Parts: sequence; C-alpha cells; structure tokens
Amino acid sequence: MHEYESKLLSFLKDKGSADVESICEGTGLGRDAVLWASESLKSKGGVEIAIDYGAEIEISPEALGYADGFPEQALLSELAKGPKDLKGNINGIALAWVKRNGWADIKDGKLQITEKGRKAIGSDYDQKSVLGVLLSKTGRGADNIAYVGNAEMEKIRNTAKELEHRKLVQIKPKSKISLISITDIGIEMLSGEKAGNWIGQLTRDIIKSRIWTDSGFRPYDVEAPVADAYPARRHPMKEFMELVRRMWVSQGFIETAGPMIESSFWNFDALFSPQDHPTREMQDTFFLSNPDIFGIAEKELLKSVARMHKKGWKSWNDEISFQPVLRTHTTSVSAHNIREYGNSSELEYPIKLFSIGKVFRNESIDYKHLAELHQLDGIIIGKGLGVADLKGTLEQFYKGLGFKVKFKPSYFPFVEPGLEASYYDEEHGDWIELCGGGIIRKEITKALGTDMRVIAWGAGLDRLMFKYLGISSLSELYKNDIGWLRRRKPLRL
Amino acid sequence: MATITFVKKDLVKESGLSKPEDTIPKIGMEVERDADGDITVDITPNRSDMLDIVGLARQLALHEGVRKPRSYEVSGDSGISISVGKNVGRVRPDIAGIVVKDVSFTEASLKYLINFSEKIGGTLGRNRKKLAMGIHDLSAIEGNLVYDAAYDGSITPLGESEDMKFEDVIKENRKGIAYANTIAAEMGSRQLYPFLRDSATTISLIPITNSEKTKVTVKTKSLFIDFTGTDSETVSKAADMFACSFIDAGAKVYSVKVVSANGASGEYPKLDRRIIKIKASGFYGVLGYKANDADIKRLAVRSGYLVLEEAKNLVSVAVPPYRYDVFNEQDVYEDLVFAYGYDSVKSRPVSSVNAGSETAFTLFADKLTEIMLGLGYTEAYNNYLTNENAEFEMMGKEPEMEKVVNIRYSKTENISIMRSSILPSLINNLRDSASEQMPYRMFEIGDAFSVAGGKAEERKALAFVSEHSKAD
Repeated sequence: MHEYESKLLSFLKDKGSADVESICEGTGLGRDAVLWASESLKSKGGVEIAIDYGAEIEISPEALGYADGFPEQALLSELAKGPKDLKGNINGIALAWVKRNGWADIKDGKLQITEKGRKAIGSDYDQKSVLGVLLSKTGRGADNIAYVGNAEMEKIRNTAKELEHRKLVQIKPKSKISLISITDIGIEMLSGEKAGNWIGQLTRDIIKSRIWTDSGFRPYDVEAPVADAYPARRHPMKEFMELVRRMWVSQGFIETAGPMIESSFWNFDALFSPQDHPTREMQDTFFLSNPDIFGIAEKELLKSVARMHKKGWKSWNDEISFQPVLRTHTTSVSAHNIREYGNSSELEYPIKLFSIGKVFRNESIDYKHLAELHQLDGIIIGKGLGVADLKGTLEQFYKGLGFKVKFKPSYFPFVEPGLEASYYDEEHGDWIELCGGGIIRKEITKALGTDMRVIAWGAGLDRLMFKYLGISSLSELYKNDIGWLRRRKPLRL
Repeated sequence: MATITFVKKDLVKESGLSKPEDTIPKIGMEVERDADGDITVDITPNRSDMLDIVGLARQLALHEGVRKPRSYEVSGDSGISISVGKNVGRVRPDIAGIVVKDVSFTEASLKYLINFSEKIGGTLGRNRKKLAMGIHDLSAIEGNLVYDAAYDGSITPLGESEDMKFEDVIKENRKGIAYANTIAAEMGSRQLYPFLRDSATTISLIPITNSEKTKVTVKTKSLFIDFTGTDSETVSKAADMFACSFIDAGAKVYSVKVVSANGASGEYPKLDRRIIKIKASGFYGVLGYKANDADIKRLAVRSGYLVLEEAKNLVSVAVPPYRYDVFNEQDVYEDLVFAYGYDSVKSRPVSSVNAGSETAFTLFADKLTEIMLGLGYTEAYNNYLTNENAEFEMMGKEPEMEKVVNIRYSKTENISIMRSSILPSLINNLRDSASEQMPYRMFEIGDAFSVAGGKAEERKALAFVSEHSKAD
C-alpha cells in the first residue's frame, strides 16, 4: 500500500467518512494526493466515494455591483413615491424587470406601481437572495466562481436560471466528490498491511537490489483517467511554408528574401505597372504615413525604369515611385533578384531563385479575404528559356503537392506571354487557380540591367489551407488559440 | 479587371460559336459566371476592345477560325469639324470624333454600346479622367462643333427638362456629383468646365453629361461620338476601337476633322495599321524550342492579324486598329502562343546547375524552432498589422509614434500600424486561449518593424510566453 493510501485510511478509520477538504487538513496531504489515493483505494474496494452532481456558477462583474440591491429594486422604491414619466431618465434594465416582475404597469405614458409591487417593497427579492448565497460560496481567488451542490441547486435552480438569462451568472454542470467513506475492506487493509512495503515506483536501485522479490508491486489501474498530454507543435502555416521551401530547394532553387516595407518603385514601377494603375490606389494597397518617403539610391536604375515607363505608358513621376508601401506581392523580391542575379559571375546560368513571404492587401476582411497573405514567387534567369521551361517547372512543383495542373492564357503587366495554372477541384467541381506566371517582359529585364531571359511565377499559399487543414475560415489560422494549435489536424497533402 | 455581362444567346449569335464559353479562357479571359442565360466575362486591362460584345465575339470567332481578319476603313468624310478653343488645352486638351451612319439599334445592342463606353471610361479612361466619350444623335446636331472650356455656361443634362448652370450640374446632377473630381480645379485657380457646343447650344459638359437634345434612342440611325481626355494616343485609340466595332457590326463610319487652337488639324478615326515583321525563330524563342507543328502565319491569322507578305519563316503582319497593346514582335508572339494553345506547348523542367539552398536566416530560425519545440513551446504565428491599443495601451507602454510604422489608410478598423515587437501578440494569444489545460507555452519567430532616421527597419525577433501555476 502506498504511503498516501495508508495515511488516508488511517484518517478515515476514526471518522468513518469525510470530505476532501477535511482529509487534506487532517492528513497534511495535498488535494491531488488525496484524490489519487482515494481513486486507488476505491479500485481495491477500500473506500467508497460519493459524488455530488452540482453546478459551478461564475458571477459576472456586473452582478457584483448588484450585491447591495438590483436596479429594479431601486426603481421600485422610487415608484413607491409616485408614478414616473417614461420620457424621463429610467434605467432600461430596471424598467424591463419591474414590468416582468409585475411590480409596475404603464398607464398614459407613465410607469405606475402595482399592488404586487407594493407588496414586494420590504420583502425579500429572490434574485438578490440567490446572488447573496452564491457570493457566500465563492472561493478565495478573484475568479468569483461558486460551487453549488446538487441539493441546494434544486432549490435555487429557477432563480439562478433567471440570473443566467440576464447574463449575471454563467452556470456549468460540475461534479464534485462530496464524501469519502472507509469500507470494511479498507479497515482490513489498514490492519493487515504493513504500510509502505509495496513498491509504487520502479527505480534502477530496486531492480539492481532485487528488493521487489520481497515486497511485491502496488497494483495499478491501467484504465484510470490521466491528464491529456500535448506535444509542442509548429504553426500549420509555418509548417506548410517549410514544406514548400524544401520542395523548391530539392529542385535546385536558391531561397531569397526581401523587405516587406517596400518602395512603390520596387513593388510596382520596376514591374512595369503604370503609375496611374487602379490597383495602386489606396483602396487596394497599404501606403504608409511613417516613413513617408522611400528613395532609390541607384540613380541609373531609377532612370532606366523611368525611361521604360515614359516609353510604354507615357508618364513618370519620381515622387510616386518613392511612396513607401507594404509589398502587395513577393514579385517585388523577384524584381530585386533580376537586378542582383542578372549578371552573375559567381553562379552558373540558369539561376533558379524563389522566395516565400507575407504580402499585404488593403482588403475588407472576411472568411476568405485577409489583409495579410502568403505568397511564393519563383524565377529562373538564363538563356533560351521559354514557355516550355515554365510549364515543365510548374508541373513538376505542383505534382509534388499532389496537383495535376492545366495552363491557360492570362495577363499580368510584367509578363509576356502570361499564363495561369489551375487544378480541377473534385469537391467544388471547378478549376481553381494555383498560380500565375509568364516570361518577364524584355522592357523590364532590360531596365533591370540584364540581357537574360527570365521566366517567373507567383502563387498564393493561404487558400490551399482550406484544403490541407480542413478549415472553414482563413482567420482561424492566425488566432493562435492554444487549444486550436494543440488539436488542429495535421496537414493533409 | 473589368467584368461585363452579356445575354449568352447574343454572344452566340454575334460570334457564330455555339459554345463561346469554351473559347473565352483560350483567349486569356475568364468566365466569371455562366447562368440563367447570362454570361459574365472578366476582361483583362490590356484588351478593352473586348469590353464590347462585337469586340469579344470578333476575337472568339477569329480564334476558332470561323472568321478571317479584315481591314478597317472609313466610308468617307462626314463634313463635320470640331474647332478646339484655347482654354480647354489647360484642363483636357485632347479630342477626337467619329460619325457613324446606317446604325440599327435594338434595346440590347444600344445597352451594349452604352456599357462599352461606361466600362472604357472606367478602366482605360481611369474613371473618365484620362478618357471619356459621349454618344450623340447626329441628326440633332446643328452645324459644326466647338470644343473649349469656360468658367460658366449651361446645359440641359440627359434626363432633365430644364437648362442648368454648369456649377449646379456638378453639385446637383447625379453624374455631376460622381465625376466632378475629374475636372476639379487645382488649388487657387478657378473652376473651368470643358464643353462641346454645336452652332445652337451646349451638347456636352465633358466628361460629365451629354445634353437631352442629342439623346440616343433605339430609333437613332446616325451617331456622332466624341472622345476626350488628357492623353492624345488613348483618345485616338478609343476612336479606332469604336469605329472598328461599328464597322464589324455593319454600320458605316465617317471621319471628323479636329482643328486645334494653333491651326493644326487632324482627322479621326485614324485606323492606322502598325506593320510588324515576325519570324518563326522568334516565336520558337518564346516557346523555348523549335515547334515544327506551329505555322506562324496561320497562328497570326487566328489572332486577328492581316498577313501582308510572307517569305520563308518571315511574315509581315498588320496590327488591327482596335488593338492598343501591340507595339513590337514580342507582343505579337504572345498572341501567337495563345492561338497555339498552352496545351500544345511541350513541358520541360529546367535542369539544375547550382545547388539549391535556404537563406541563412531560414536555417537559423529552424534551429531556434527546434529548440523551442524541444522545450515544449508551441509555435504561434500572428499578424504583423495591428493597432496602438493592442501594441501599447494593453501592454502599459507609452508609444513613441515617430518610431512606429504607420499605415496611411486601412479599410479595416483595427489596423493602423505595423507591430514593433512580437510580445503583445503572444500576450493576446494567452488571453484568447482561456480555459485550456495548463501549461500554456508559446513562441513566435518573426518580424518586428520600426522607423529610424526616416527609414523603415525590419528586425527578426523571437518571443515566448509561459503561463502556468509554477511559472515565475
């Protein structure tokens, strides 16, 4: 028998039965130890446990203010002095309840006390009494939770429900051990056993010294409930980004990164987006007021991009180019990459690059629109690259994610020709877009300083989470409720 | 992108295709909705010519080979001229006009024409600022036209019965209120109103409303259309686009003379054809390999180009006047790829000559993540956009706003700044995780933002929180 068990039985031997609190006090054991010992003894028949199916009632901060009197009681005592004009300053809650209690009626636009109301003055108000009972039962902590046993709950149930309806309290069913009693077997156990002789926990010394051959093991219940254990986990979006990253790296791609706070120059202008283009408006893009300017240090580059715009769109303004924005796509990183790797002496062509990161859209947020999204962008810089290479690269990548893709023509201002890859979604019976891509316009590669051909693509990642994680709203992903993070499904690729 | 809705059977009739919805994706557009006899199409911004049912049907029919490219010419001089005054040059310098005769409208075709002009004004015209057009009944126009701007004037706007002062139109008329900003005067200068007059009265307050006098109805047989704006090329191209649509629809287009304030004159529509030489090798270059089954001449025809001359592997094509997005052979090759079809293009993954790799930070963050997971911390991932309340007030911190990255305007109320540290997000997560089994252990590796010396700074950071009865 375990030490806790023998302490518990010894205590109960004189008393016969006791509640958990007095056992803790009498034995000096902690609450958990008492609960464990009584469960263990119960399985051996040494004790009986009586359970009370009561309720746990949480008292709201609003209700705490009512401890000295409810608003309807205050109104009632005012009404006792005479009718009140409804146009006057009357507390809405109080009004609703004096009417509901039948304490007052409305006559000719005035609130008048009824006979029932007069009787109520000076007598006990059931809601206040029950609240008083609950307050007297709250624990020491600041949590204002009262435990009410089954028998008492039966008495106050209706009034407590009324309080709950008013959102003054919250009632949750809760069972509690009410009494632990020693049985005849328990008494026998106590007299027959030399307490402390059974081995409760196996240690390396016990095995070495073979003590267990003398004393034997304490029996245990393999079906006894235990607390859930949760391993630490990755965030699903990070996990997915990691997976995508690994796939590109395994296909010979070099990961790159770029700033999220970006100049309009890199986010739009370098990609040939006309300066008066509607997507550049504040409705769609997050512009910044601090910092309020984002200059471009490379003057030659600025000039060559300006030249491209003047030729293609007939307009250019440096100031528009210097407006800081939160990048709207990771294609801005690709633009930097074309500049940086367009004339490489270190690496051999074709150079394959990708980036994964956050992008920002000034959206009205709903279940499928977020202001922060995740994208991947890839480019290959080299000679003689064409649509065939783009098709092959995307097919290979998406095959790894389990998609068979189809391509169709599309338009993006920075590529020519442009395409869109989509897959057939059995669930929706429709083609769903996966990514857009194309050959970067010659004007752009030239302005960014390379003669190489660049094929490029970009894809949103968030919406794939609907499929992979079985979620119904994207905003669930970033709430970081630990319960959700612990119990979320594994990614189902 | 602009979406436009047609009655499906109108599109079937106009294109000669029984299932136009199958061809629409092949020319780079998207069917947004196909139900209840209507079809809604997303038109990409480079092809505003397809915002018209005639233009869309034309491209669909060309792609499927049921129609051949044609040339577009005017039927003669309309005899109408527009004199441009001195004032308008300061606010809206460019104008073109065309005359269309032998028009036969139905309720539907008139609606498509009006939709076309509305959509063009909204997209290519940047909400009518860069380009807008006005469609008038030619028979109601008296004498020649004057295009100018004035500080005041009056018009009977479409749908009204009384003359209104210009200044009242922009304050009271529905269109006036909607488009007043397109002609708003700069600070410190007086409001100028661009207008178009015939010999009797004002027929348009540009780009806001036409007059009731020249209103077009189903019975109208001939039209005058004005195109005005701030970019001469866009204005001229829009005139070409409309002219081509009318010619394709069987009407006759006549030219209009524009005499500018300095005496120079021009005629519209121009209907110029740009001639571009394309080579089979250039097309192969775009594909990335030599495609023996591709005939660039046939592909050019299916894209709408008139083939002018051909030698071996070299073809000279004329760009149709309704196109404003084709300047060089690369632009033509794009159309050729669409005509060839992505399904026909070979698939060839690019082999690797360099080793793939992750950034140094990714590798470092992976190590940190491994350590934090090993310590029992679950990973959180919070939004980077936040607000002053969550970031500072809830943390009992005084914000130093000059160091905080600030958003100028957000559609969402609780977004106003970029987070400057990760911890407030994690504390917030603890609050949202109430009533879970303890212990709570969470970490996040991510970015934090600040401003120093007028420059944005992005910092990588790690934060973690631990909440349970023994946490100290």
